[in-house]
Amino acid sequence: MLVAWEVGVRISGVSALLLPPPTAIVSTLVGSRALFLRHAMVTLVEILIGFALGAAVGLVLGVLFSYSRLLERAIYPWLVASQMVPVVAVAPILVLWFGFTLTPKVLVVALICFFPVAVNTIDGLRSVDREMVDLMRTLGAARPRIIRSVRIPSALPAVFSGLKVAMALAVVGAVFGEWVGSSEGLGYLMLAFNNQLATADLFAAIFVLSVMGIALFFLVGIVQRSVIPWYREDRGHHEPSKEG
Amino acid sequence: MHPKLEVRGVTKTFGSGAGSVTALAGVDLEVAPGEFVSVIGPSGCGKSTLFNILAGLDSPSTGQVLLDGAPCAADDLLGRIGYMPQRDLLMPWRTVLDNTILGLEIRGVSRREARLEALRLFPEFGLEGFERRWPSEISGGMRQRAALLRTFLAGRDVILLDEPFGALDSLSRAGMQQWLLQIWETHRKTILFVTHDIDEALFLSDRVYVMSHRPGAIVDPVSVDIPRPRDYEVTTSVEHVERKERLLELLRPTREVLEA
Ligand SMILES: Nc1ncnc2c1ncn2[C@@H]1O[C@H](COP(=O)(O)OP(=O)(O)OP(=O)(O)O)[C@@H](O)[C@H]1O
Ligand SMILES: [Mg+2]
Repeated sequence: MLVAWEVGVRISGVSALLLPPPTAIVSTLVGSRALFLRHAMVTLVEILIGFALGAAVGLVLGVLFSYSRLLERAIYPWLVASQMVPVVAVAPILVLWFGFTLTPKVLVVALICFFPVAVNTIDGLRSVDREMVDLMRTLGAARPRIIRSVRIPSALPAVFSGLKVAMALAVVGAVFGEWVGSSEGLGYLMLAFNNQLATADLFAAIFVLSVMGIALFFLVGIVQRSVIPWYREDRGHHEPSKEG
Repeated sequence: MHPKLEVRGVTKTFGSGAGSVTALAGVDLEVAPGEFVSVIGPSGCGKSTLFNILAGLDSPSTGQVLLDGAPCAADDLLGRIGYMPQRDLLMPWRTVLDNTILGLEIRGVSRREARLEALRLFPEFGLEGFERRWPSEISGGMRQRAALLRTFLAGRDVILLDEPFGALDSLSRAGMQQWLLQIWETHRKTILFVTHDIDEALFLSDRVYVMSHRPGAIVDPVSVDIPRPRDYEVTTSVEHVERKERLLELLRPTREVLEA
């Protein structure tokens, strides 16, 4: 595909300003690797802190809601509403309050991240197998142990689904936060290159961002496999298979 | 001597008013210490409902459950009766070994000791070599044996087994029945067993209670005085066939309801 791209660009005579050939992108990547690395680190830090904050808030809210219907009724609509207000509107305000610092980006990322985590945590904790809880009771288990041994483990697959969605969104959130106001980061770099019509550099920045996003997403998957090694997305667990 | 477990006039109605469902309409039964008793009845007659009450998960609408001669409320029964529900309910996040030690752990035995105790029984339960597997990786028959080991290790004298072999094909079923009898004979538990398979009930039990179609009520028990240890061949004997006919007779009204 890359070859087709390269050849296509060269023979069709498309302006390099519109679609640079891959070789040009690679050469700028290599040539300016220090620059890309520095800005990528900035974005990475924003993503990681924002993600951690958003995930933590999402988890706490999810747990609180699943234990108190009252709390859920009181606050859940507001959370949903918070997702309806576009980040586009909130981000400039945050920049206004906090300036060109790390804070507004972290907050934008956290704001996007907490929601899928909260929703999935609630669903996960609710999806607990009633009969398994009953079994624990017949074995004489008290509530704290049932929470620890049944509710939490059975919620984890859903929580990880939420974390994966959140991570994917976090990357977008960080770049967006940078577009609204910043002097560094991949998002900033992309805007700058765009203004200079440095298309090859722009593509290189997008490439770095994609690689980072994919790596982070798979990182969540790796953590998932080590935390819940018993869980396989492609297999059911609840129905006993027939003996062969 | 008291029966180990006694049920007196237990009824159970779910809900109230027009939408209520009567699942149990007067159940009386008793199980002597060390006895193997079965309850058979058609699907939906309230067998699982009865077991939930005996295990303390649910309260009867009327009537009493007595354990060692003492009337017990649901809360008294919780944690005192071993219960293996219809589904094996192995936890997907625990290995086979760690699933079996659940009851010991809840009783406060350390994980290490609990594992050692469980491992001693693994060969007998046909689970040797599968200690570290996830439940999703073992066969249906093994899952049932693991669930049974979990129930045994919880250490209660009375064990309720709700159709433990219901999901197995008839060959593995026959093997599992013989194996269950061995286990019962070595460990001498009091077992109350639910099935809708007449042959299974007759082969395993000292006595068989028949439950009528919903709402379930218990008819008098049929005694099975075949000497033990039993061999699977008894299921082809003349006495067996006679008893089977009596049980079918007792289940007859049920059939009319079904056909009506
Ligand atoms: N919680 C409940 N609320 C309302 N109805 C219930 C409830 N639990 C059971 N029932 C009803 O009570 C009846 C008896 O159910 P139960 O599960 O005890 O039957 P069963 O004899 O165990 O059937 P099977 O052989 O299929 O397992 C059924 O008609 C069922 O619909
Ligand atoms: Mg049942």
